[in-house]
Amino acid sequence: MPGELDLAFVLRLVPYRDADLVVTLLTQHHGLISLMARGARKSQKRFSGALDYLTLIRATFKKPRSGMGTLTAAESARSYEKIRGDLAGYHLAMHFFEVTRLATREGDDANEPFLLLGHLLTLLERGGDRTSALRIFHLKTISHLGYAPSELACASCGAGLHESEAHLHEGGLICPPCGAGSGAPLSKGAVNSIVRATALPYENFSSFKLSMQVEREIGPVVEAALIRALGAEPRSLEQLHEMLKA
Amino acid sequence: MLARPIKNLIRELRKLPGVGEKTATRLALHILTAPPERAENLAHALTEVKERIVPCKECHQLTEDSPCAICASPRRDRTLLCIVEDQVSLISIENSGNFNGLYHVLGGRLSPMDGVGPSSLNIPDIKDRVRNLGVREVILATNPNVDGEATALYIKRLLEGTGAAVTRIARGVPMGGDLEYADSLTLGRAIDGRGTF
Repeated sequence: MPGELDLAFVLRLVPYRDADLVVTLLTQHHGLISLMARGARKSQKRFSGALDYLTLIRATFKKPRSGMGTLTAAESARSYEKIRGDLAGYHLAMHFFEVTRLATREGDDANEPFLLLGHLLTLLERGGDRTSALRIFHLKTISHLGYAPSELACASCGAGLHESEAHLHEGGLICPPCGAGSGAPLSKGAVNSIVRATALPYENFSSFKLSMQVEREIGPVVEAALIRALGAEPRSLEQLHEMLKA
Repeated sequence: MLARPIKNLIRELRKLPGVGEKTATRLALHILTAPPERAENLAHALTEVKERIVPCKECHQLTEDSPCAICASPRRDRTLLCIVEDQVSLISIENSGNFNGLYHVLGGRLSPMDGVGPSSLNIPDIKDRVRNLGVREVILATNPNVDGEATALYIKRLLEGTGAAVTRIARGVPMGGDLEYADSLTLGRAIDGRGTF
């Protein structure tokens, strides 16, 4: 059996026994898969140094109907060398990988998260704005999980939110009357940025820039919404905050 | 089916890394059928290692005496400091016979996905060690993977202003290797990191 061939990002590497690795991949056409890479820590022959984070790989694998499949070969299709040499970029990318793994299940169609990762890594590799990349990622992930605002309308009563303040709640944006009692609403500018980032086409990522003021306003709210949508706080978030501050 | 003490032993063995149910059962049955003194020796070794082994107060490697034999040795070059992720890396470098300086064992590497940051590792005291020892060169010997590179990068930044030269272990084609079979990433780094011949 020759096995399946697909492009993939490495989301998680866990050492197993003396020389093996359990590899979690986000593939373009097969979604999220966990595979055993036998001898991967000892032999570079079949994996040619490609089995690491921040590398887009061409993966060859065998996936049985049940149980864990085997990664039989991997070669590098693209390496994100500039992110490897940038501590904040590295922490950001690791956060992307962790959140993507938490937000995706085996069997899900993962083409959208795959394309999102690819475009965001390219943006970081080209020196794009890190904070804007982070918020685009958070909002698109929340949206992918079905919790984000897709339009400027209240998720509770349907009222239009053009040129209006709003709250970001589970399920989307809520107009001030519906969100009464949940603190100060977000400003009009912040609401517009949230909706724009959520719907932003991949090719426009580099042109999206959050002002510091809007970031201060939406950052904590978006992260709280992400944690609610994931059902857990990503472990990489605390370190990421430290690195982005430095 | 199995007696309670055997089940207990299997349960404890299963807690070891890489040991599953089958291996734990095999090990337990081996211990049962082995001469009694072998089991006693194993139990003694386990207790002794927990009672007597401590991290060296200087380099953090696991040792019976602190400071360890390497840190206490007058024959080691105290102006050379090699930073490694763990004890296994230290042993590998010692076995190469090519290094006669001191070590600093980090106890891991940066791993944001596991919540491991600089404060979880033996990083904060590196700068003081470099200054106190008058180190002229720090060799970063973390593993050449993404997490290891990030750890090296973090320490390099930390040591800016100390006056010590910071070097990175060479990466590239292994001895006995063939360029034809080297992957492009490794070969590219071998070219980038080439040295005068």
